[in-house]
Amino acid sequence: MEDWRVLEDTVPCREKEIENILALMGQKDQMTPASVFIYGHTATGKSHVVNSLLKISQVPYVLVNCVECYSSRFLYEHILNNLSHTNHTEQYRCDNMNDFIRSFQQIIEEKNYKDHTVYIVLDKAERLREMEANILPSFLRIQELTQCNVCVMFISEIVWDKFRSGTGSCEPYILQFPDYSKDDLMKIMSLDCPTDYDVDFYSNFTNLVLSVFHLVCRDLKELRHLTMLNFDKYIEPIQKGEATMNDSRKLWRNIEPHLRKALQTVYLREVSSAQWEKLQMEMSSTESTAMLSRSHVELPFYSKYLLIAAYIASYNPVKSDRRFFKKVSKMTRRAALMKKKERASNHLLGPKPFPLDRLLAIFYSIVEGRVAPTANIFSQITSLVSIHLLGQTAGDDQIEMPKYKCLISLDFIRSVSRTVNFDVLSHLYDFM
Amino acid sequence: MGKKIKVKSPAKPSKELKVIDDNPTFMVQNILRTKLAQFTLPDDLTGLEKEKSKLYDLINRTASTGESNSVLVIGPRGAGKSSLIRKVLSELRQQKNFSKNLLQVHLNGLLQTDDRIALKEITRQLQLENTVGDRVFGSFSENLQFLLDALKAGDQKSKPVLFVLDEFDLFAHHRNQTLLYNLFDISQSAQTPICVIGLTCRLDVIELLEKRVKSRFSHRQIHVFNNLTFQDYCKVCRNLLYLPTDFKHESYSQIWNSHIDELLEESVVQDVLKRQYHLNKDVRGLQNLLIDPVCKLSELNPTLTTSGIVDSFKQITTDCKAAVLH
Repeated sequence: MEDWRVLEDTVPCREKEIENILALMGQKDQMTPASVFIYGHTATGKSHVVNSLLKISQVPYVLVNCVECYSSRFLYEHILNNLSHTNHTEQYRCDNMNDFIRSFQQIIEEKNYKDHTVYIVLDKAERLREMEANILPSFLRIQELTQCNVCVMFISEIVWDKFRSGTGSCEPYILQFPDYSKDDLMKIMSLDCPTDYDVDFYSNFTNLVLSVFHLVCRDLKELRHLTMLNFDKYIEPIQKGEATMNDSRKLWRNIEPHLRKALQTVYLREVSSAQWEKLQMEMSSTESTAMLSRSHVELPFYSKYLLIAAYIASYNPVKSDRRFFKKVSKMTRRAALMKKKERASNHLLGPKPFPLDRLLAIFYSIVEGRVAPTANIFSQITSLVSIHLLGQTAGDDQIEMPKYKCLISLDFIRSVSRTVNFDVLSHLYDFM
Repeated sequence: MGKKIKVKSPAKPSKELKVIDDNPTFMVQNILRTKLAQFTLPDDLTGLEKEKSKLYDLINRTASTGESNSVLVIGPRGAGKSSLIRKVLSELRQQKNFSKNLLQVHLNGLLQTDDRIALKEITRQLQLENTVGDRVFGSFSENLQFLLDALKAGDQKSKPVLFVLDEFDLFAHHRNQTLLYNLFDISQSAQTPICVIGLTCRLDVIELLEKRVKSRFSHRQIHVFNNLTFQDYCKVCRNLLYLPTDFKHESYSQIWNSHIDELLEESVVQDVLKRQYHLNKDVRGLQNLLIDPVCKLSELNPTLTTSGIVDSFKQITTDCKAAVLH
């Protein structure tokens, strides 16, 4: 049909599926199978194909997204209102299946759709399983119940086997949308090309991106996102004038480390896209260190233990020190722990200041082996303060018993303690 | 594959969407699609003659002699329970004055999820909305009794009513099973002659009924099991694909029918049908198998081919989870 070739531009790489669905739909007045179930992974074009086909075939149809119409009432009213194209004053009110079927038959009579197939498309159909139990079986039998020429299309990412429940019901006609192949992905992504660049140049770039990410990720949405995010970095040397469009080697060498780093965090969105782009700009301008969230700070051995001791001192109440650090465990009467919910989490309240000798007491108990209290240890404490991992409270003039507080996060201390093989969580009051 | 099919009209390209009434391929596709649709009644029900005659008797007795009856028709999904009832009713309709003598109410457990909704539906189907008007009734039984009394003809004899309850087991989940209790109560007392036919797919549906409901039920059960032999199954397939005798182009339909016969004799197709038969004896499974080849009939492809049927079978039997994992 001449119409569907128009779809080739907007819906590429889906010829076989379009052919199948068009064959099922047939002519406007022919009977269509009562229910069709379309399934496939995300970003395989299911909704896009079905919506485009229905639009160009000029048949009466209703598109329903089951996430939006999460209750039966919204579902019925949405279908009835859209089918009869009412204006706001004459909306339908319907909350049970019986009234729905009756109103549906009435609308078909009024609007003279008796000879045409009416299509109801239920997107995200897996939500129907959680609605009332009679909705899914009724929609599967809707031709029988209404005695009209209706076709219900279910679109879902989950296989049909998971929809069966109870005593069973009519089985729909099942169509699968397979994933796009690598060539298909290239073809579709090259449609994204920004207008001021050559399509071939952009396709080369997508080829590069695909070669790095194809093993890990085949999701079209994610790949398009990654391509668009990294394109600016790719063309940076061209903009700076260091290379031209044909110097593919140089451009590749420029972009390769960034792509490999992006490979670590694909799907994760640890930082937002705006932040990622900003970081990429900064990285090219200064040769600075990597992102803070994933940094390791190299510290001397005793400094690490001092840091851990400081964290424990900040986030544990004083009374619990005895429980954790007493070397001799007697069967004393333990004070009843308050219920975990009622204890205010110390992590929420923030670090508390602690005096120096508490820090040293904890330090000596967690460090293995004997440590002499030399000036080295004390100077390490001061260095920790100067690099802002510890903070000094109560002013400079208190030389007798300086107070500190720990300024680092739980993730940081966990990574530090992992490097010295020390289990910090078992020494924290909040995790008991 | 034998004789060449002569296409009556000149070969038009399949790009055109216009309806060409005279094109035989087009008409054939129309007819076959209608046969494969969900609400079409099959011409004959193979293997269910005994059950059909039992039901026919029962309903006939209610209509003519005013005897109240209740029966449950039990069988797995797709065995032909609803088709059986519809066939019996269509045969009875050929009797004189049948529709005037016997009123019918068709209820479905999927649609009427509540006894209140069921009562409204009964009122609507008996066309007594005006009679009921705005009356408020104290209880369900009062309401139902009022409806049945309103059906009494002038000489104090009430008209018999036939109640067909599809998905009967869902009605048993309503609160207190009031609808079922009242219907069976009326069928046991001598007031109005009613016939209650319940259709269900659960073999243990009797266990779902409350004691008081169970005691009023006549415990008459008709089991509809799908016991088609493979020959019957092939016959059903042939009937689905045959063109009816009143088809406009006689010679075309004869050629088509003989072609279908040949196709179904082929060993490959027999193999496919046998495998489908072993998977699922239902007629619905067969309809699913035939949808793809029938829908792909066109000018360039005016007959059903072996490869079409084999492809369709392959598509139906793909394991969904394996396909998703590729």
